Amino acid sequence: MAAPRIAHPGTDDYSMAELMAVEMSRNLAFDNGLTGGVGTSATIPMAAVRLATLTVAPDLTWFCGASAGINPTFSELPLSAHDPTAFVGAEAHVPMMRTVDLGMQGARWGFGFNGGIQVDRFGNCNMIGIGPYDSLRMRGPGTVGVIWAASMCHCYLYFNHHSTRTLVEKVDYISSPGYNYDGSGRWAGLKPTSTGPRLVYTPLCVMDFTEDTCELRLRSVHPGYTVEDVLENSGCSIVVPDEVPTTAPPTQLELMLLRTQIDRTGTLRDFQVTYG
Amino acid sequence: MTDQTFTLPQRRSKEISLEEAGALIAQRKRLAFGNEPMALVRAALRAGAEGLTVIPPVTTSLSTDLLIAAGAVESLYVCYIGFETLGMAPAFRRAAESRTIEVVEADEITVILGTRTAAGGMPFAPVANIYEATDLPRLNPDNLRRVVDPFTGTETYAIPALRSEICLIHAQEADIYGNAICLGSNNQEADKALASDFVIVQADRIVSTDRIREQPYRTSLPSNLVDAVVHAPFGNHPLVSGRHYQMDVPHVRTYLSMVKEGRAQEYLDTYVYGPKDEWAYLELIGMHDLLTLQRGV
Repeated sequence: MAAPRIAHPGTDDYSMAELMAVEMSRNLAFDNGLTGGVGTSATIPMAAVRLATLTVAPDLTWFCGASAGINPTFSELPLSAHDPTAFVGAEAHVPMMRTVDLGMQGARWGFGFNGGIQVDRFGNCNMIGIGPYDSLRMRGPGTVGVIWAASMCHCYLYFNHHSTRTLVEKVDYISSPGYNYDGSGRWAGLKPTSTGPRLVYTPLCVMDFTEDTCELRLRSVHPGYTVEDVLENSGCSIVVPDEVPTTAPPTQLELMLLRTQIDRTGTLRDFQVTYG
Repeated sequence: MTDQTFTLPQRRSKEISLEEAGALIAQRKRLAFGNEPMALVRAALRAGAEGLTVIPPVTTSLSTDLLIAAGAVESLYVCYIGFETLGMAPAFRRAAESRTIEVVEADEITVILGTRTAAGGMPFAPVANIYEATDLPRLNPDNLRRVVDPFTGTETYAIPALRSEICLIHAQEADIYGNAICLGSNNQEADKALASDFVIVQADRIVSTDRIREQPYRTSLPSNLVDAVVHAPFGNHPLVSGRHYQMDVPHVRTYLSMVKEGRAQEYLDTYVYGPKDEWAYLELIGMHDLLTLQRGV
């Protein structure tokens, strides 16, 4: 198996992790006024949500994972929300039990950023493992909070690695539910207000889901890569529209805010996202 | 009255040594972590703890992985175990893939609500419209069962109360009576303590009760929830202790690569069984590295 390659946008003006954070932040305009959250391994989403509150979504409220901070205003982006510095400048501290309350009742629970060791073309994610359950070839870290995809209004999926092993036709196990494999849309039995994944971010592209059958569809390809690169490195079919734009590079303002207000120590400039 | 002398009774200290704590843990099988108390984990291993069923906090890394690396875990409630962007939990992966530990396929609801249910003395908790489209009910049939809501007649899932025999918690500050301040986390500690038969707190600093009384709203665990207190300066090394010291990332990376290379025993011999006690462990890490971790917290 070839070693994963580092995704690079073809310029040294910004890193691919910075581009992902900026693109995520723009699409959070949709969530202005809602409450959302991030969880484990959420270095890029943490930066994105904070950037959105400075730009397109000033009325967004967010919950910063294990630090339990509401609306933190750190200027030195930590690698993990588990780092107590992710709590810096927060407005409130929310016990874990209150977070579970948000998920259990569903109301007041707008969006979250979820990931996994696999995602399939209907947006279902797997954190459990790969292979038959009594003889897993690869044991995953566990379902943790991605289960809340079943209760929050919608969720965003993100992956720091894009390959035929992470993007698959059908996940081995469903930790967080996306859409039904029969093309009928959201799975039955979930909170009625929960509409499913909206967008998928990877080191190569952004994807959304078709309106009728809720299948993965290419939305934009990051600078430095092509539609063919995306398809070659994916293990599932992806709907490709006639026109696929390039993901817009960060503007000077976005990059300035990111680097001076959120990530002064350059965590994302050095953060490697990979493919293949 | 003036010629009489009175002696007021003294409040009982709950402070014990780390070695005594290790022995208490080794006598029990069903262990819960309120967070990731590393000194108590090392003490438990030195005392020969084995055959444990572990209920970790919703995210756990080295505390649980080290117990697995030492072969001390029989069964594990898995919600999230890993080192986030530093990598997967290597001992857990190996043990789960080779089926040398039993995995209970859990998630945040099972751990938090199961613990809350036990903490409140309830038999089980109903969970509606969340597990339905996931594989968890199939993979965790002992803990996720269907019940009928007696008020509406609709079916929901139920999860059982999650009690433990012993619960281990790291605090930044505690007094000798068990009043404990846990900083930099999300308050799983109090429910974990309430849901356990015996609670041990390790504290970076032992402070006076006057200090606790200065800001009582900061007390995470009142003394009535705590059975024993251990003084463990830098007791969470190599993990983080909020406002006291950062994670020792190079040390954690060393652990990860040693276990991945099949050298878990060498790590354990060097850092757990080699030092005769926790003071010797801290001397092995060295004052330079320890005090440097206090920068910028």
